[in-house]
Amino acid sequence: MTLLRAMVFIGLAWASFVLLASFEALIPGLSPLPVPAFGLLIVLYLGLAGRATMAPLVAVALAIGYLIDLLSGSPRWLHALTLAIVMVIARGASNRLLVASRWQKALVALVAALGNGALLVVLAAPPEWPTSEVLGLLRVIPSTALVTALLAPFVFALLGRLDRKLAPPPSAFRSVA
Amino acid sequence: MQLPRRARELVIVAILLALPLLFLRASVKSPSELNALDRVVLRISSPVETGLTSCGRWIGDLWHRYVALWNVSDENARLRDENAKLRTELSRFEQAAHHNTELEALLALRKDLSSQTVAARVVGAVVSSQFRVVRIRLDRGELEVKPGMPVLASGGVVGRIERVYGPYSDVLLASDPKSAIDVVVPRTGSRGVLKGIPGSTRYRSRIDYLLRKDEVAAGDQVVTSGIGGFPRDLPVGKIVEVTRRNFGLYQDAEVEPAVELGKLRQVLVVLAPPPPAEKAER
Repeated sequence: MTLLRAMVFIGLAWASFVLLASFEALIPGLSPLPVPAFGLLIVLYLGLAGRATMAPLVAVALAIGYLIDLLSGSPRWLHALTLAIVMVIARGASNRLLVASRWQKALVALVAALGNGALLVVLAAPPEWPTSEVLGLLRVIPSTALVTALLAPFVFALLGRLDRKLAPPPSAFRSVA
Repeated sequence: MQLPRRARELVIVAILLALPLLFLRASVKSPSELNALDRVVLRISSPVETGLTSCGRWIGDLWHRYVALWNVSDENARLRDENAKLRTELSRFEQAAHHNTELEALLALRKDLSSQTVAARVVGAVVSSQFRVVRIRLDRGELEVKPGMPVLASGGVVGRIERVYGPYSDVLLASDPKSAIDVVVPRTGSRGVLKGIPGSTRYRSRIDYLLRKDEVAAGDQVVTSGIGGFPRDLPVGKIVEVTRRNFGLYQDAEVEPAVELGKLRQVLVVLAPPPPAEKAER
């Protein structure tokens, strides 16, 4: 993975969070609506594209997660950790998994978002929290996952276009783009 | 060669995964602490967010204030109509309230008067400054109204019936130059005949035959004398100006009417015999 590619994707993630935050500040009525996990989609794309070794991809995932943590006000390194785990799984699966159609992309994104959301709750919820509060946090995961899954094919397509400009795909390309 | 490289990769990934786990624990313990990198990232991000938000707000304002106004114009028109209707309604209510007050006062006057009276509504206002005549319609048409009968309002004297045609009558106001009403200034006991001032735009009258020796002054009340069909002591008006010349028997006094003759709505007609013309004018 080239440094430029890493920086572009990290920058893209940062820009998407800032835009999303500004958009939500502008339209307060949107806050109860589920917010798509753009960071997760970028990490998923990079992992499934498989155009780099595991270590730099995990580092990029950590950087993206770190930015999400800072900008979203969540405990620092929480998203970093969960996205790093998602990246490991996605990169590992990319050798065996062919994600080509829109439905497949959406399905993969749905599963990843559900898993990532559950992992976030498990890691963020203090042990002393009552079950009802933990369940409350878990309740928002399906809607967020659904929105993320619906956007996944379009986001993957855009990222694929960008990625092709940054680095032409090798012949043994196994990517989702 | 392949295995060490893969092992090295795994070690790096394990370290990369372990790092956030360690930092996360520290972060959960003291969430408010920010390191230098955190501050740098936030310093960069916050102004961008602020800029984007401001820009978005500006676009939103532009849209709401200048572009998305198609329904505002309809709403404005609807509100304008509603406002006009409400204003009309309010004005109607205010008029009704005022009318009620007038009627109550008229009823009180009617009770005070010993003479038989009949109520009438003003249906035609004064249309000329030369002829101070209003048209009235009796509330009960079967009663006989004759020319010369006094007409009163809650505030005092209005004038006399001049013409009668069916349920309608013309009332010659006290401010008409042809009108002549016998009056008294109670403070001095002075007597005179009240006549309208020709061309007066303020419905004013003057008292003729007011003796020069009588010490009347501006502010003195003027009431009916009881001669000429009008009941005694009904308010006629208030002296506003006195002109006393060095010669002659009489002085002039200008009187402002007690009743707002320009805003009459309800009146009482005193069903008394008309006064002889020669008695009214001395």
